[in-house]
Amino acid sequence: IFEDQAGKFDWRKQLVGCPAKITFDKVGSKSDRLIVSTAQSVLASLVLNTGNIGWRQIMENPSGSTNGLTFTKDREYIYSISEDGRSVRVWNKNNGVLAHQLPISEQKSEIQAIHVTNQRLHVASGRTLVVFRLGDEKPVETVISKTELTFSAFFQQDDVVIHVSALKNAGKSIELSKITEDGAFEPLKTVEIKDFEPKNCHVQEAYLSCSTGSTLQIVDIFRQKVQKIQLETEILEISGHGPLILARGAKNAQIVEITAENGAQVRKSVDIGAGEALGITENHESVIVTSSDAVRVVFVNSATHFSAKRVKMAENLENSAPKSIFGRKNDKDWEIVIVGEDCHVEFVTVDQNSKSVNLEWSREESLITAVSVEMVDLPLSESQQMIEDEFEDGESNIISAFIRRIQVQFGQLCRQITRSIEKVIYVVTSITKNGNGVADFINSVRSASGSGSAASGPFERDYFNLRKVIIVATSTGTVFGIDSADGRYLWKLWLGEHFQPLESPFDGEKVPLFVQRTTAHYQLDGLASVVFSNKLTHNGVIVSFNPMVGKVVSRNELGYPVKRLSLLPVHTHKHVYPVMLIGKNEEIKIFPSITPEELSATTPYLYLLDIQSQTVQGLKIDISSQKITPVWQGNLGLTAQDDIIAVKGKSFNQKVHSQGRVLVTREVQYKYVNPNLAAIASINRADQHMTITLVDIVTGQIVHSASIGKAAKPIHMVHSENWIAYSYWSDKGRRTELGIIELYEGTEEQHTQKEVFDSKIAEKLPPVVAQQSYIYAQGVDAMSVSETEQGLTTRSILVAHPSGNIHEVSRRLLDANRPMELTQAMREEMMIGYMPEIAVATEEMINYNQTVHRVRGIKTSPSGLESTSLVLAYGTDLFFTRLVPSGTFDILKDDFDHVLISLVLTGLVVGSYVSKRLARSNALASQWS
Amino acid sequence: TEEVSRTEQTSTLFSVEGEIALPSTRNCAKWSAGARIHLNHGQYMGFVRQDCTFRVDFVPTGTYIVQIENTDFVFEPIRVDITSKGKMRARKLTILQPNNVNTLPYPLRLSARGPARYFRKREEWRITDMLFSPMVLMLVVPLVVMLILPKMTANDPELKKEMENMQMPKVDMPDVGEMMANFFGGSAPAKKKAVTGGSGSGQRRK
Repeated sequence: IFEDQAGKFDWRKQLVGCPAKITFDKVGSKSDRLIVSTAQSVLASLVLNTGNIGWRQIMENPSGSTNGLTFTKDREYIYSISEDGRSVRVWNKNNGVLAHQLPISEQKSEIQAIHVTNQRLHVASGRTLVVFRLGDEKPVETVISKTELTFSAFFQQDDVVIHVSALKNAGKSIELSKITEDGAFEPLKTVEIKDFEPKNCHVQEAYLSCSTGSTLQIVDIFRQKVQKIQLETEILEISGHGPLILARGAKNAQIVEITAENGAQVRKSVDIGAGEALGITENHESVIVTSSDAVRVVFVNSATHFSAKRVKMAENLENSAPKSIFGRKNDKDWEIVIVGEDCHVEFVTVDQNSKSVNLEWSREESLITAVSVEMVDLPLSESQQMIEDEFEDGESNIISAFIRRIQVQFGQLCRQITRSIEKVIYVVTSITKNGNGVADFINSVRSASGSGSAASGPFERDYFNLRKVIIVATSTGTVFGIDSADGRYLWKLWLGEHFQPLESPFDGEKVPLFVQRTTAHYQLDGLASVVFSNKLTHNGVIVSFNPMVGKVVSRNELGYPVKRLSLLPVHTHKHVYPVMLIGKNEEIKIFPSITPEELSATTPYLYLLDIQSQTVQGLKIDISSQKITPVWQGNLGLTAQDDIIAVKGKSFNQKVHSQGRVLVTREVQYKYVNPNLAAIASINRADQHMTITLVDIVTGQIVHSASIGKAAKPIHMVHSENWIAYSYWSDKGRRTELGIIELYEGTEEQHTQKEVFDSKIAEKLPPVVAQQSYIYAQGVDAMSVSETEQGLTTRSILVAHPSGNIHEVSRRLLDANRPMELTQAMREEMMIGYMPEIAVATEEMINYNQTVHRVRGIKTSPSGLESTSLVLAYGTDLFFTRLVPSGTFDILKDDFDHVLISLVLTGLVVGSYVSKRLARSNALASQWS
Repeated sequence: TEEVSRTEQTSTLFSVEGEIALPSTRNCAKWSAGARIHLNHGQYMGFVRQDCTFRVDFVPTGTYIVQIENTDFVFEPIRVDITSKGKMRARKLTILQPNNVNTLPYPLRLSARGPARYFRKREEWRITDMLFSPMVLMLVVPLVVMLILPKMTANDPELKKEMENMQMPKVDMPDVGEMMANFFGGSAPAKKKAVTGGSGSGQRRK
């Protein structure tokens, strides 16, 4: 990649994750910030005016719950509990630099609390309570409780800090300890709370509020007094700020105010619907209720309130209901951060005078949970459709064909004229609007030509089919359509509040995404489907939509949970490939249904691989009669100690360009391209052996089995053409290793002895296997392989590193036939000799210095150019780019020197003209002499 | 306090500490916000403080590869061995020979090997590249020799005479005669043309 190509056709989206806690903050002389801690262990600072990431720190992956990091802050630093509650990290607010790292305890715990005063930092994690003096890394005091805690919180009033804890077997009481000036712990008395349950409690200011049914118990920590209030309805949620407590029920919320004279009493009741979120401003002056279309502000100390309508900004972006609100009051308006169920974060300001809601910015954080990605072609352009029309009707006579052709040519001419007129109008409009001189005119012309291929043009396929719609399905319940040109959101689907991902034994959460009809049929819209589970009934749900505009076509719920699902290899008369959904009791549903006459043209059977804990089974499914029959069964040589880690089959529509490989001896070695081959990787727990078993799914034949000693996770596999590439951690060598297995039928001489050339016959000879291993100096987060339209281009294996780089390894380097010693013939064939290590150079990173962290998968897709592959890496970040593994052999290169060639051509033309004149005058002079 | 000491005695988790040496032109506080420490490619993770020191806590016994994740510099990875009693040994990482021991000091000190280069250089058109290419050397230089030398001899009569005189002392008489005949034969058509031109002008005068 070259420097002038950076950012030219790639883009990156940096995400912070689903916010769990947000606070407003002012950082020195800079603008206001939002301090965000998310469910994906990210601590970030967002610029309040723009929503951009000021700084971001990605912590370790949590081993337990995903409720975000516990943090607190003072004027200069942010104090966060990290490493599952074992340490505190102190971050500089300005730039996110780590200032201190304070170890707390060696035991992990989810019961965490942290508090900072002017001089001291108080941390509670599990059974350990530690007090630090600010700036020091040695604790002043450490207390370890003998009993496990179920609740932990700090309270401060003036200079007094009190720690509240609940012991595991202590029943219904909380322990109070006062922390003195020198850091010592002084026990106070025990307070009894009836039916104490930590998850029903809320901590604020000097009060601990707990709910039981419709009873609200408020504990004044500093007076050690409990007050009970009986409310009208059952309490579902408690929140609040300062002296105000919000007790939310099913239909309304009670505002409880605590004063010194009267204690706690209900001040006001606010009606709240099911899809609305409730919050209170930081100065506890007003209560904010938001729904999808309105923001209501209810004043606490007066009878007035007002409601502001929200303007629907984008029709294609469908958001969920709000989940939480963080707001504050300014001099003139309210500033509100709204977080939806779909991790949609938006910042709005509400003006009281004009009663309007202004959307300042929004962020889509659910992309951090992307699990399925597809790339879909754009519809044909108008000129391409005309060409299709021109050649479609083959039965018309010659006169009507001629007339149609003239019409098409005329249409193309009109289109070209219209486009030119639009450009001229754009230039003239820019001049009249901003006419300041020649520079502006030149810029207008340049942007006019640029806008022809940019997003402002018509939404159709470009010349080389490089621009696509990227469909991303997330495990949060959203589906996005993203423009691959610049990463813009085209549409967004919210799959509903009952969304739940499917479960996979190998890959965790799954939201399968199928492209059932592409845009190749220009009369018909594209069709894609997403399959998930209903949270309440656990039944399968399939939603079909138009991938261009995100419009839902149909939504069906099955009567059973989905056990497995597959795309059928046949299509209906409307060119739709149906999706087959199979339940646990062999129920079968096909969406959309397919008729027997559509089936008769092709094979009516589908073969599936069924993997249980001990056995592996081959199933045969009759599509017409919808019956499942076991064909073969076995354990594939696996024992009870073997854990299956990965299963990789061939991709659905993979192209293998060349059937053979030419050897140095001029023989042809034919590739073993069985489309029914599946690779199964397993690790033996007893002796740490990794076994890769290649199975024919139809016949159950074990084609090959390879064993690697002392291997460990993480293990990644790529299966393509006739080879399998895999990566594993070698415990013996204590490094990452890459392996490659290649399968061949045999050379031409051996091939002629066979009667039938068929990879699918089970009784034939086993394939010739070549295998090689290489040392790799980096870790591997994800692996993928590049894809082109015809499979002619050299394939590249893409390896994502934990450090955020994506490395491109050519297949010529990861090759099982690299010789140990190069002969002269091999040198002439430009073969690369074997070297144990595959070098990792920074020039081979396809994302240069744009790091992509925690990559979960890399999606590759062919484009219209044979040389170019499209790549999207998704994880904590998204990164899209193009890949040219063999160079741009089918278009002019980027550094094609147009200027030099033009100069040379002009010089030659001028030189030939001058030479002609000189020759003529010389001839004339010679005749005169 | 007794609990604390008892816990420390039975501790099986340790800390890996080190320092990062940047080039003197770089500010550490600005650089360290984007840097992280990886042990065994992300199995354990640490962050760099504003003074370019780091510590990775709660690391059990074993052998680890210490790497620095950043986008500006390339650092040499280091292998750290931790015994069950917490004794640390740092050595140079040799992936090809894992048992090779080349001890480094502990606490770790990682120096930047150089800036990270992500882009390749474009091929640039240069005059020297064109002149010294094999095609130019094999074709253009002989052509220049063939064209320039005859012109030099033709333009300089003294050099021409000198060449004729050099041929005279040779003993081989027939060779000298042939050359003389060639010289005279070569100049004859020019003289004829001159005579023809002169006669033409004479006729016009009459």
